[in-house]
Order: sequence, then structure tokens, then C-alpha cells
Amino acid sequence: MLIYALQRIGLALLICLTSMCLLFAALHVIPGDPVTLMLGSRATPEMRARLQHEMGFDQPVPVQFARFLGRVAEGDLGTDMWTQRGVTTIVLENLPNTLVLIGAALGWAALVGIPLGCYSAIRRNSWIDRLTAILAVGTISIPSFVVAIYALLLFAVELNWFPVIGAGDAGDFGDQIWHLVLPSFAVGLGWVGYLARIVRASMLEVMGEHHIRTARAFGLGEAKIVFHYALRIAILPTVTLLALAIGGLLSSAVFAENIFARPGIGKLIVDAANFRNFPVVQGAVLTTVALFALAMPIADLLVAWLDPRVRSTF
Amino acid sequence: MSEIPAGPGFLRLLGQRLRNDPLGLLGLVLVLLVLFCAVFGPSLAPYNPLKLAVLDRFQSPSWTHLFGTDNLGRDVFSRVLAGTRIALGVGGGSIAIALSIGLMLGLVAGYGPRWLDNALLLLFDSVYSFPTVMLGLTVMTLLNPSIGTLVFVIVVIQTPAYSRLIRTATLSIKTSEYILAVRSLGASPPRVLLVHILPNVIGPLFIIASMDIPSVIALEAGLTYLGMGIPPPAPSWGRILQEGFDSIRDAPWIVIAGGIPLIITTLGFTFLGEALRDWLDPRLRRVI
Amino acid sequence: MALPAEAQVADDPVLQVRDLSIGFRTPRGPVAALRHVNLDVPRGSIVGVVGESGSGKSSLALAIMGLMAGNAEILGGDIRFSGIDLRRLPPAGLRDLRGRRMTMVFQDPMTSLNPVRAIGRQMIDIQYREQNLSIAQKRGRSADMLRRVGLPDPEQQLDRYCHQFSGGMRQRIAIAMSLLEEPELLIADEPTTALDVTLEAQIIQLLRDLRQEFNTSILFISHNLGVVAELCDYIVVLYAGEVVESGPVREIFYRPAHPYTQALLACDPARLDLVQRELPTIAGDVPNLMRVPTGCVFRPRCPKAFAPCTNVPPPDVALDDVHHARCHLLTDEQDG
Repeated sequence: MLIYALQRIGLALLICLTSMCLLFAALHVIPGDPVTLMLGSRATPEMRARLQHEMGFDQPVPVQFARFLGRVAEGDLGTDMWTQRGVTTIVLENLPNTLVLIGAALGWAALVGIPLGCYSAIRRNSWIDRLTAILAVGTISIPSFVVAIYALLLFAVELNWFPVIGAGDAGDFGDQIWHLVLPSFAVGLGWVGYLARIVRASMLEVMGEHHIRTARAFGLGEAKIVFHYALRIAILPTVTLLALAIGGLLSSAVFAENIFARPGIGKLIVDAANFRNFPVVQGAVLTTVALFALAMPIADLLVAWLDPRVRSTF
Repeated sequence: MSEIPAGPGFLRLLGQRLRNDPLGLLGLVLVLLVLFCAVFGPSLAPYNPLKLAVLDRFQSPSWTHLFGTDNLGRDVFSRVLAGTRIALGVGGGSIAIALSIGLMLGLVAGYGPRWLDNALLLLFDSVYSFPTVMLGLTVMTLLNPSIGTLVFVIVVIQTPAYSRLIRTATLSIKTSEYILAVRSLGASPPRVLLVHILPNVIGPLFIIASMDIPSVIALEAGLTYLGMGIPPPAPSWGRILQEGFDSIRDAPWIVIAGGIPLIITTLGFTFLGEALRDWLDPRLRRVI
Repeated sequence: MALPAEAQVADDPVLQVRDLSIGFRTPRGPVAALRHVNLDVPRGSIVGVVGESGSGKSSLALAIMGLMAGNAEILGGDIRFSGIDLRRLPPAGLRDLRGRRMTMVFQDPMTSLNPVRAIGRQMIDIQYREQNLSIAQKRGRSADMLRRVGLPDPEQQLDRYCHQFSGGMRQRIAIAMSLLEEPELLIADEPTTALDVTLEAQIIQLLRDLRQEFNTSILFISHNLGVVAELCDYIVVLYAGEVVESGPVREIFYRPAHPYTQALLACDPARLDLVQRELPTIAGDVPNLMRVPTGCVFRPRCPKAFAPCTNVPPPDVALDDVHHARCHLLTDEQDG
């Protein structure tokens, strides 16, 4: 088990490394040079020289990359050009907000979506099943930022039920929850449908398997069969797919944070991007890449631990 | 002699399918509507979408301005119609390019030497591990936002998935007997790839790609909304949403107008795509 | 199939199927899977149902247990279990019978046990109706049963998962589960088809021993004549959804009356007296059950078919009290 875990995490790290290479290469491969990119075309030669020296652009490229890797290994993601603060610090300040948003979104999506999916599988072709199917496809395909804007318009601006901006006062838990409702609703809406669909498909597959028929042959009650026999198996692929969902959630969070003016990685990246603040963009994006890349092996390990068929092979 | 009775003919089957699948029918109708607007919209638009008329700014919807006017007095309805062409053009074009590149890379990865396959896979997975919007923002930061760079971004985002699909299909066909037979008759690798493997792997790709149209259109609109997409004054739906958002309290009709075409387009293509996929190849039922 | 005189005096049959017809609704039309099937399982006996693939034997088993697929429906007839009319029973009543008074062992041991639940837990689940027993006691009963079916070290095995056992052991576990509540009827649907010959012999022996010990009646479904001959007291021959012959095992084997039964026996390689170049076969295919032929269902493949076979369904002829067959030839013989 340990070896398997190390292998998967190792692969994830390799992917992170390659991503860093790609980013680094992109910075140096694009037309124009990085300095002009960051300072704009009206920079004076002195500013350019200073920036070049600070960012180490006067060194040969491989040396730059090595230094970059070294710094990342130490946890230093570079320096924000505008405020001169460490990017790592900035990222760490903003990351928890995003994680809370994503957690809340996924949480409510799971609370609503999984039971819906289960019910749809058991009561196939009932009106709930059909309605869920249509709504699922609908909510999955509608862009989350449109949902966010409309939600803001309806519930915050027109009806005034929820606040329009911000994350709430620090220390006031209730206020923060109140500020969390609309953004997490917007981010999570598409995932309710997604989860309902995969749980339904998974359950239908499992319920059709022979061992379920055996359980029925022994007179076990339908509730027991659904929850203890079928769902236990059906939920396993869901865990894996949820890890893939992290990527989509992070993307949706970018929009939600912008629209609701919530602090977080998403807002950080967009603001930095609009100012061509590349170190911040790079550092923040690499952080999300690391999160995403690590989410998958963690999910796989979780499934391996939950599934006795896999667990006992270690 | 026992006989299995013959099933109904193709057209009847199609008719049955459409009757049974009202969502698919709805999707078809919506897609046709969007296509119509893309082709004929700019000619049918009552006003020039770019024409400023600052005196008429922030007019609420009326018979003269169906969707009202925006902060610069432009007619929102005309802008929405013009945006259709941008959305479909950028979306369709990017996917087409990504398809071509993905097809080639996938064939090479599947058929070529192991080290090449591993290297390409690592490349794909690395690009894949960037959350979509983040990748878009990063690249747009490096390049100056324009339609060309946006298309480039979308191609970079979409290609890994297509390459992987083709690669897997190529791998499984590579060892099948008829490929071995053709090779033993002396076919060269390009010939094997293009004449024998390609036709067999390309089918599912079209269906999968067509189902990506809504998400690509959403991505373009989203990036433009964040200011990192198609630069103004092009009336992309994302632009309309962005400009409308600043005046959401005073002129909510702008964001409503900006969101509606996105909803119609994404729903329409998704419903139609699902219906087509269910009909043509139910095995492709991946759960998004 | 009428009961032998002794049985009628002693006991009611544990299972009595009369005129059962089952159909499937498919996208291409209805399929008449079973037609007017009669079957009795006398208490304490083992009845074998023999037929080739597509004869409807699994459908019969599933119909009795009430486990048919959604598109299947009972078109007519009666199923009585120990006098209880199963068709009139509400689902809760049927569920109460299952696992307790009538149980089933399925064909494929690799897929018919839950893969993520420990064996012991599954066996405890089956005993959910025993309100007076503690979990520990249920565990004890389970371990006992595992020991009885020949599993070594049963206490340990209870915590294992089924993928840790071989096919033969899984089938033993399935049998153990079926007998936990000492049912009156055990339906075994081709329990040895997926196993190799040595395992098959062991399972057959096990079933025999257990039948002695628990006095459970068994309905044994198979396509293997040899196994059926070894194990069963009575045989029912099923062809394309109809019972073509039924009777005590010795009668059927030494005096088969229906041409299909005769052909089946002739095809059995174990029964060939002479060394032959070619193995005898039955020419043709099982008919398409969406269009059941008029007259005798076996007529297209019957070497002895004659005029009435094409249009008139053959009557059920009683050769003696217990031995029945459906064939026009038998009426002719009786008449003249």
C-alpha cells in the first residue's frame, strides 16, 4: 500500500514539475521578453535593468530554471512586483477562502445530489427521476458565472436577501456563512446535477449485478440492499470523479470570487492577470495545479482504502 | 427455419427517436435558432452594434430597443445578435483546430514508440492538471488578449483530451489482427495510420467534440468577462455581461440580455449532443 | 406430473406448479418463454429440471422465487409453495418466504456474492428475522454452517471477502447461506456449471449429504444429464419453454418416451456403447419463441414427426402414475 501511495504521489509531483517547466518555458518562449511583459512598453531602461537583475533574467535560461526550482522547493514562489511581498505569503493568505468556498459548494452539492441520484436509480422513470435528469443536464451545461450573476441579481440586488460583496467580517461566523450562501450556491449548482447523474448511473449498474439478486433471494429488505449493499459499491467511482471535479470547482471559484468580490485565489489571479503581475499569477496557478494534481492520487488512495477488493491486495 | 423479425426502417426510427426524446428535439430547435442568428443576425440587427449613442444610454427595454441600451447607448439586442457569430466562430473554430491537432498527436502517441507515448502523455496530463480557467488566464497574461490568442488558449486546453481519446483507441486497434495483416503486406506506418487506423478511431471523436461546444463557448465568454478574452469593442456575450455587471443595479436588463443567449446556446447544444450521442453510440455515455 | 401414491399419503408437495406460462416484453415483440408448465416437488425429494440453453429453466426458477426481470410477466397458471399461493402473495409476504423457507443458489459463484461485504456480515444479514439471537449467536450459527459445508477454519473465514475464495469454495459458501435458515425448498440454478468436474462432484455430494441432514427438498436445474442422473429422484425435461417429459429418474433414463429425451440421451458421450466416428447430434436450432410453431414445438427437429405433429399440439400422455410425456406417438401407440 505504501509503495502504491508513493508511486501515485510521485507521479503527481512529476506532473507538477512538468507543469512548472511548461509555465517557465511559456514565459520565455513568447514573443517579446518577460520584462516588457511585466513593465509595459513605457518602462525606462533603468527600470528594465533593475527588474532584469532582480528577476534574474540576465542569467542563462537553464540557470534561471534551476534557481526557480530551488526556490519553489524551499517554498518561495517569487516576489510580487508591485507590493514586494512574497508570493507564497499572498497565496497562503488567499487560499483558505477559496478552499472554504469550494468545500461549501461541494458539500451542498453532495448533500442534495447523492440522495437524488440514489432515488432516481431506485425509482427509475418516476417524475423525480425525469425532472432530475433534465435539470441535471441543464445546470451542468449553463456556465456557472451566468448562474452567479443571475443569483446575485435576483437574491442580492433585487430581493436583498443576501449580501452582494465580500466574505463577511472575520470572526463573525454567522456573517461569513451568510456571505457564503450565494457564491457556494452558484459554484455548486452544476455539481448537484453531475453527482446525481453519476450516482444514478453507478447505482443502476450495481443494482443490476448478480449479487444484488442474491441479496433479494435471501429476503433482505430493499432499504438494506440499497444502502448497505449497493450504495457502498456505487459510491466508489464517485470519489474518483470528485477528485477530477476539483479542477472544475477551482475554475468556477474564479468567477464566483470575482462576481461576489470575495477574497481568494481566483480573485487574486484575475487581478494580477489584469495588471500583468506575472509572478503572482504564476505562483497562484502553480498552487492550484499542485492541489489538483495531488487530489487525484489522494482520491485513488481513498478508494483503495475503502474497497476491500483493492485493500486486500496490499 | 427460425427468423428474427426485421426491425423498422431508418427514417421511421429517426422519427420515433425524436418523438421519444423531446429534449433532443428542443436542443435541435435551439441550435437551429442560434445558427440562424449567427448567419443572419448581423443583417437582421436593427442597429449597428458598435454605434455609440451616448444620449440614449441606459434605456430600459422597449419596442425600439428590445433589450434596452447599455452604458454607451448601444442597442443591446443588436450586440447580442452580433455576439452569436463571435461565440460560434471562436467556439467552432477552436474545436476544429483542436480536433485536428489532437487527432495527429493521438495517432502518433498511440502508434509510435513507447518513449514518445510516455512523453506525450506526461505533456497531456500536465496541461490537463491546470484548471481550465487558470490555464486560460495564465496564457492570456503572457500574450496580449485578442481573438487569435483566445483561440490558441482554447486549442491548448482542448487538445489533451482529444489526443488521449485517439491515443487509447489507436493503442487498442494497433494490436488487432487486421492491422497486423496490413503491415505484413508491407504497408508503411503513415499508410497504416492514415488509411487503416484513422477511419476507425475518428468516429467517437466527433461526437465527443460536439459535446464540448457548449463548454468552449462558455469558456470564451467567461474569459472575456474577466477581461482576458476578446478585447472590446467586439460584442462578445462575455463583454456584454461584463459591461452590464458594472451597472447591475441601475440597468439589470443588460446582464439579463447577456446571459440569455449563453443559456440558450449551451442548453441547446447540450441537449442535442446528448440525444445524438445516445442515438449514435450509447457506449460513449460518459457522465460528463 | 402427478405424485406417486406413497407421496400423496405422506405429505403435500413442497412446490406445485400448474399450467405456468411466462412471457417477456422485448422491443421486438413478446417472447413466450414458458408455456403451460406443470411441475411438482414432493417433500424431501430432489427434482431435476433438464434443458438446453434457452429452454426456460432459469426463468422457471426465477419465477418461483419472484425474482424475475422487470420485463417478464406471468401470463397464467399457479405456483404453490407448501400450499401458499405465491401469485396472490403481496411482495412483503414473498420476501418473508425468501431466504427463510425457500432459497436459491445461483449459477456463477464469481458474481453472485457481494464483493465488498465480509462473508460473515452477509450471513448475519440473512438471519435478520431472528429477533431472539444476538450477533454473536448469529455468527456462531454462520460458522457452524460453514463448517458443515466443508470450509476449514470457519471462524476466520467469516471476516474474509468473497474474492479471497476460489470458485468452488464460493459455491459452498452460497450453499451454506442458503441452508442457514433450514428452508423447505432449495432451488439450485446450475450450481456446478461454472466449476470443473472434480469440484462438481464434491458439490453434488455435499448437496446429497445436506439433503439428508436437513430434509430440504431441492429443485436442481441443469443441462448436464449425468449430474442429474446421479443426484435426482425425479426429472423434468424442458424444451423451448414446454415440459416434454417428466418422471422418476430411472424411468426417464431407461425408458425415455419423448423423441427429444431419447435424442438427448443418445447424444450423451458417456452413454455411447460403440466407438463411433461421429458424435450424434440433434439437427437444427431451438425455435424462435417470438413465433412459437403451431403443433408440437419439437417437430422441426424431430426425426419421428408425422402428420398430426404440424398442427395439433400434442397432449400430455400419462404412461403411468408418475411418468408423463407430450407426444403424438404415444397416443398412437396407446390406441393401436
